[in-house]
Amino acid sequence: MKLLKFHLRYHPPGIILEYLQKGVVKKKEIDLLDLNCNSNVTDIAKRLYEKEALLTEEVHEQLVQCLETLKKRTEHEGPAGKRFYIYKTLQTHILPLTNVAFDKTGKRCITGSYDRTCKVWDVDSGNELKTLSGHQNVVYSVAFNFPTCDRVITGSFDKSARIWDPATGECMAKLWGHRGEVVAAQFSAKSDLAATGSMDHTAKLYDVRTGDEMMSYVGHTAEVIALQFDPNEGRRLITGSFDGTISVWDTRSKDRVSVLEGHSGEISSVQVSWDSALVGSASLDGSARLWDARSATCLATVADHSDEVLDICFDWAGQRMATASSDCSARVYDVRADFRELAVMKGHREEVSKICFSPAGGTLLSVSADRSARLWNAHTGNCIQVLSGHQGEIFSCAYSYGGDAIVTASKDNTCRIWR
Amino acid sequence: MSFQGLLNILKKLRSNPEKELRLLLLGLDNAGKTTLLKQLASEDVNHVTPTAGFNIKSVLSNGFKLNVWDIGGQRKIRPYWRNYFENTDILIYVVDCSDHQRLEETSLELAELLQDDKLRTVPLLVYANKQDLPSALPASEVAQHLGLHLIRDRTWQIQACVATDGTGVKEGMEWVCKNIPVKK
Repeated sequence: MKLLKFHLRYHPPGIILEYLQKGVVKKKEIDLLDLNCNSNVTDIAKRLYEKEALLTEEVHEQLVQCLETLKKRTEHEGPAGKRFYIYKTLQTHILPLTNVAFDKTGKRCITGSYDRTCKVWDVDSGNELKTLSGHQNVVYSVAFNFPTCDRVITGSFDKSARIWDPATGECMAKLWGHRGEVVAAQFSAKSDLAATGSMDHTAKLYDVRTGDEMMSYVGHTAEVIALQFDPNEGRRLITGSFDGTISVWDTRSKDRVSVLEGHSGEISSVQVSWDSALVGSASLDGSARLWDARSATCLATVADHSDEVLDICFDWAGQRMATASSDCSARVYDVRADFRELAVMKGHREEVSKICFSPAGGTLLSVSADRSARLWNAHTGNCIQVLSGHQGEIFSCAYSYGGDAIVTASKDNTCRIWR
Repeated sequence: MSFQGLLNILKKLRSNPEKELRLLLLGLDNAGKTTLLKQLASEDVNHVTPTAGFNIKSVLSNGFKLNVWDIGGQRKIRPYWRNYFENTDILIYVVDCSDHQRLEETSLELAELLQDDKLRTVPLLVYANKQDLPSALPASEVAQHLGLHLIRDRTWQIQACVATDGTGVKEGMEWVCKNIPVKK
């Protein structure tokens, strides 16, 4: 085995080793999820030699340099943070928007709408690149396949999902089978599979290339409104339901692997951490829970919110989670050690419907029914900036991978890009 | 609790439990649908703008929770009315009785609605709105224009009203509560 090259992965922090084995070039990813601005780079380098045969003292200098660069990246936002200004207002659809998403580079974004289409936008120019039309009813959920972003999946109230080529606008596959509205749809990490969640109480698994149904997951007793593949292998699928439970499924079997029970109200969102070890769930019972994905046990319940919890997310490295609630606040928790509350974000005047961390983790973005989006210092909970301008409730938001652009979608039928 | 996010739409989309009804409010633009909705929810009706989409409000009436969906009526968005048909318990159609020129247009739109499969057998309430205006046709004449007496496949009612001050609105809702279809 011979080491050829280092590649850096910024979010979450990691290095990728490109090496030669018996004449074949291979890659190996090493996660450095606990890397932060206080890390000692030399110690980490030493630890890496001990664990990884490909790394030797000979490459010490390069390795340390890589680690320094990654370390800088985790703190590059700093406490002062970047300021965002309205960059483009996209007059997107004639009817209300639903969900929005960025591609990995942040150069394109997609919007779903009640006008039965999904549109692909060029973020730099604000121009519409393609309209993905064909659905017979509301396009509710939209997603790119990461990291290549050469496919889009849409879930519609017409009870189907579709796979599209965003470059040509062509529909590549139609995913049929649900008997209720499709309200969640995602690609697996390798982009070969797609999963859908529906108001018909089931989730389904499809072959992305052919559109064939591969699995129907039956077990929930109410609507399946949230789902997520494990980000690594892509063999586990996590679903959240209005029945108050979270289920874990295997892509190779239709039987349920486990059920995470404990919430006393509907699930509003589920997330899986980057290393697939943790599942976070938000519920209308006013609590959020953290689960061990393998043993299916509840590690922690946080019940600091005084009203329904509407959204949950992990930071990219899976070190913290954030929750958003109808009680107008957002909260950040440590998920690696003691599940301590790290920060409380107060200032919104109405419910906080969605939250996400900046990729480097220094900032939390929240959007609210009070028509504003806010940026918070994720460590202190201080409000850094209020993004105002929307004329209706904001219910959708996303950060670009580079952390340099934000998209917000509102009931005012516009989508705004902030830079 | 005001709860306006996407999750709310999913909650309202659920197959309704007993004692919870889905009412669909349709009609041409400027018929007074949003004013009617606000009147039902006892909200200020002075600042109503054209609806580019929809509004949802929940109203309690006679022990029922009525989830009322008010859908924009502009011509370019009428083709999307069908998005909202699923699981409708009662169809409410609002007519501007002072707009004589568009009586034919409104009756054509209604006829098309009544032919849709998803709205088959759904009870129909027509609000003959804007009765306070001198040029308004009486409800009986509007019924004639709409051909309501030819309807055989569902129960229907026409109710004269003034959405801006609430006259007749309550009477219409009482009819709604009496004519709730039995849930499957």
